[in-house]
Amino acid sequence: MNTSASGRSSVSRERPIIGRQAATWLLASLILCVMLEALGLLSPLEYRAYDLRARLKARRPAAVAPDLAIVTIDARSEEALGPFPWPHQVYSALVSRLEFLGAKGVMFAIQFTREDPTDDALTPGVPLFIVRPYAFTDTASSRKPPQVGEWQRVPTEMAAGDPVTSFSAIVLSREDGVYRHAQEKAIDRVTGGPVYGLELLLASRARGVPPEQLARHLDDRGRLLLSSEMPALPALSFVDVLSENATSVRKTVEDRWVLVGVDDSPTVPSLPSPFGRLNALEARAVATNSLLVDESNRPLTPLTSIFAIVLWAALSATAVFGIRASALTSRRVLVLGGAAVAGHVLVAVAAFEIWRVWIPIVAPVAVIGLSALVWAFALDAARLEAAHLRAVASEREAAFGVMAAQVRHEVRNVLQSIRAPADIVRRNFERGDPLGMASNPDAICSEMDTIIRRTQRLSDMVDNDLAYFGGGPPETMPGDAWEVAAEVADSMEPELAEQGVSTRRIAPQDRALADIDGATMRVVFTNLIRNAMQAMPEGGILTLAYAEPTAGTVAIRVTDTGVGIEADRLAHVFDAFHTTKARGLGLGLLNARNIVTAHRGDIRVESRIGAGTTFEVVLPRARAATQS
Amino acid sequence: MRSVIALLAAFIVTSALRADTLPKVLFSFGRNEVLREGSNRWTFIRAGDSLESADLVRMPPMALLRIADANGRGLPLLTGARESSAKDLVSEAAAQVGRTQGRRIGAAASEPGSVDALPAGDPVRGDSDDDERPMSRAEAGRWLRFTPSPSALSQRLALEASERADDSLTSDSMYPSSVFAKTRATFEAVRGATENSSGVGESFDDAYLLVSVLQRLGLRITRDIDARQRPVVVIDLGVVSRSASQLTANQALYRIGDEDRLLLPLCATPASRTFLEAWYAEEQVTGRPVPAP
Repeated sequence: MNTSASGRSSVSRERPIIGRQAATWLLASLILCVMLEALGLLSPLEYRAYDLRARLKARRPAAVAPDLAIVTIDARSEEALGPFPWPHQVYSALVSRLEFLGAKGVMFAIQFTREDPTDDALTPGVPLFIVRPYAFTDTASSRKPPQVGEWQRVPTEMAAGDPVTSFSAIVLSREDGVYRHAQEKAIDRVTGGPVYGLELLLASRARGVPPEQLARHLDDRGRLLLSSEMPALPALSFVDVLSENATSVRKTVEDRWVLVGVDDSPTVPSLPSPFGRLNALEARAVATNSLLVDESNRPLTPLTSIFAIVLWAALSATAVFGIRASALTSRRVLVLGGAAVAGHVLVAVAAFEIWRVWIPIVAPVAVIGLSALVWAFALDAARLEAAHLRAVASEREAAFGVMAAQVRHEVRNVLQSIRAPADIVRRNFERGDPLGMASNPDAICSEMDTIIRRTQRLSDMVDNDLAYFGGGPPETMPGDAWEVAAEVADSMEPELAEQGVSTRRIAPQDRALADIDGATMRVVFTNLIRNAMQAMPEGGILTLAYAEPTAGTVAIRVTDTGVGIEADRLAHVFDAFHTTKARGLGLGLLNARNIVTAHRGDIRVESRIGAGTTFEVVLPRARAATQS
Repeated sequence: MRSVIALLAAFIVTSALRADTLPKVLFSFGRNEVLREGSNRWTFIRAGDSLESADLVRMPPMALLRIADANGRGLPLLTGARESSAKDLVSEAAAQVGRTQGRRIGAAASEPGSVDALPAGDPVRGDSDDDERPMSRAEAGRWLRFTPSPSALSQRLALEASERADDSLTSDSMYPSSVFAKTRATFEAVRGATENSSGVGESFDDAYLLVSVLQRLGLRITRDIDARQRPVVVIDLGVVSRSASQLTANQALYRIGDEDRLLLPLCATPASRTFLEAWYAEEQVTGRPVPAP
């Protein structure tokens, strides 16, 4: 019965501690994660996770066949056809060849100025789009689509007589310079309206859908996260299309769009991407193909962020519920956290597999994992603190029981010793004054003195030994600890003299002040001097010394020349009820230590058998000036 | 004996030097053909072939040919429908050296936006051009039932064509029959006449005129409509099919008629500006297997 009552009591004590600590740590973890995200420290990890995923996907057969083939104007082509640019008939020949081989349409990513304006134009039998090569640019750091300036506008001939305004840019990741996004939407600096990238416009025209429909693939910065589902796009050299066997070329271009462009690799460095290194033409092709086959990876959206937050909140709610049910252990929290992390990863993978939505993994997993660790840590810490409080309470309860017995015994002894002289006087007069006290007042005074002395002893016991169980925190103020110790020694001088103990005092004139509560410090020195006196029953020398062991402390040393304390007992001198004397509660040194500790000080003891013992009370120095 | 050896050595050295100085074909796209000097058989041109100065080279429309001159220097690419000697080709290509075909743009981000984009579509020969418009049913019936009537224009053009056919390049020694030369001369005469005139009535008037002149010259022709619903004049060359190799190596360019007679189809729409264009316009619509070049 007692046990269950104690259990309920423990839970009720644990709950506020756990709640307080968990709230603190959760808040700290949340702030930490937000700071990490805000500083962009999680993004590189997120990108690494994406790249890893892309590489894993690249090892598997592609889910969707590419809808685009690349025809490159490369060094071999220039060797065969002469230096680029070529007459328009060359492109006409290519287009007619591609048309003959079953290409869906042709996209030219080349442009040059004509020296001969009478050059024949292309007359394709398939859709033909002519666009400008990439202009290189770095990524914008803002969260909005970048603005398009005048120089970025491209007079693109998407079809005869149908010029459109567009822009062209390669966007490299700001964090690590990797090409993962194609910038496909921007804001016109003049009109403020949306401007779409060439790849998006090409795909829009090719698929016959409005650009706005394809723009749903873009994130809030107008970027297209490239699909990791795509294998390497088939590619041919320009000259091979014209001169290779029709069957082999047909295999590459049949029923596909063909993007024709110049291989800029000699002048433009290739771009690192999650799918390997790409040149500018390939980068454009990958983005265009993603939009053609509707297979881009949809990037982080507010919805996916909310999803991650909800998941994290669910974990926290579960943990809170578990604590309320007092059934949650740190291990269970870790299991729950691990399950939530695994669940998030699984959901992220499933969302990617099914909807091609890339849900960030690193940041939510960091939040969930860190929170779980924090919960577990907080739970353990709270339980530890509660256990400590229980132990202290138990110790106090046990100490109180022992102390009560000791006090009863001591008080009874003292009271009996007080009663004894009074009984002697009263019986003497009851029996007709056989001791002749009526004629000898000194005899009566002697008995009265005994009563007074023993009453004083009882008072001292209450003041010095039982102080441990009462009183609040010390009310400190700058004071001279040495002076307190000297006053105590002065007051005890008659007892010391009676026991044959002489005192020696060593202190400088200029002494530092300490923050002390004079009344409680008096108890400390009373206990220490009395302890020294009792260690010298045959008399000896009591030395009081002032010292400054460090710059910020003041020390008072009480040294006796008594018998000393054995080493195995020295460690227990401050324990409660530890005494070797026939009288006393064994609480004096414990009291002294507690009082000094309450002063943010320390008390140390050194002893040598046969030489004596030194107690050193170290107190923090007050900020006030020294006492002269 | 010594003189024989010396002659032999001189012949070998001369041959070697001669071979080294011949223009070579670096790249060939399309069914480019060559009629070697002293041969009466057309063959396809391949990259790496050497050309004699007097070799006759025929390039179909849309064909490309890049040759190196006698010094091995790569010359600019030759394009378009043409038929000329290798010597003339080299001269023409050499004349284009230094004439750039354009300048690359778009490589620098700081370039101004106004640039001359590669033109797509042709304002003259676009889809809306009447010249390439398929025949209507009424037009097709009229074309197939057409009976030429004598006119002063056809008479004048027939005379002009006869004179043109005497050109040595189109003589019987080079082509399988004089009919080919007459047909070619007639086409060019008719096209010249209609190009100089303005507002010649209906878009197919050229075709009717061509038929009239060819019949006035006594050629055996039939009228047809190809798969693209265009008017076609099919000329009987008066020889059997085994003579086809003297006409072309490209089997898609002729038809075989009754009694194994060799027939030459010509697309008669004004969109075909030259004889070669009119001839090659029917290449893709004959429905016959096309051998790989």
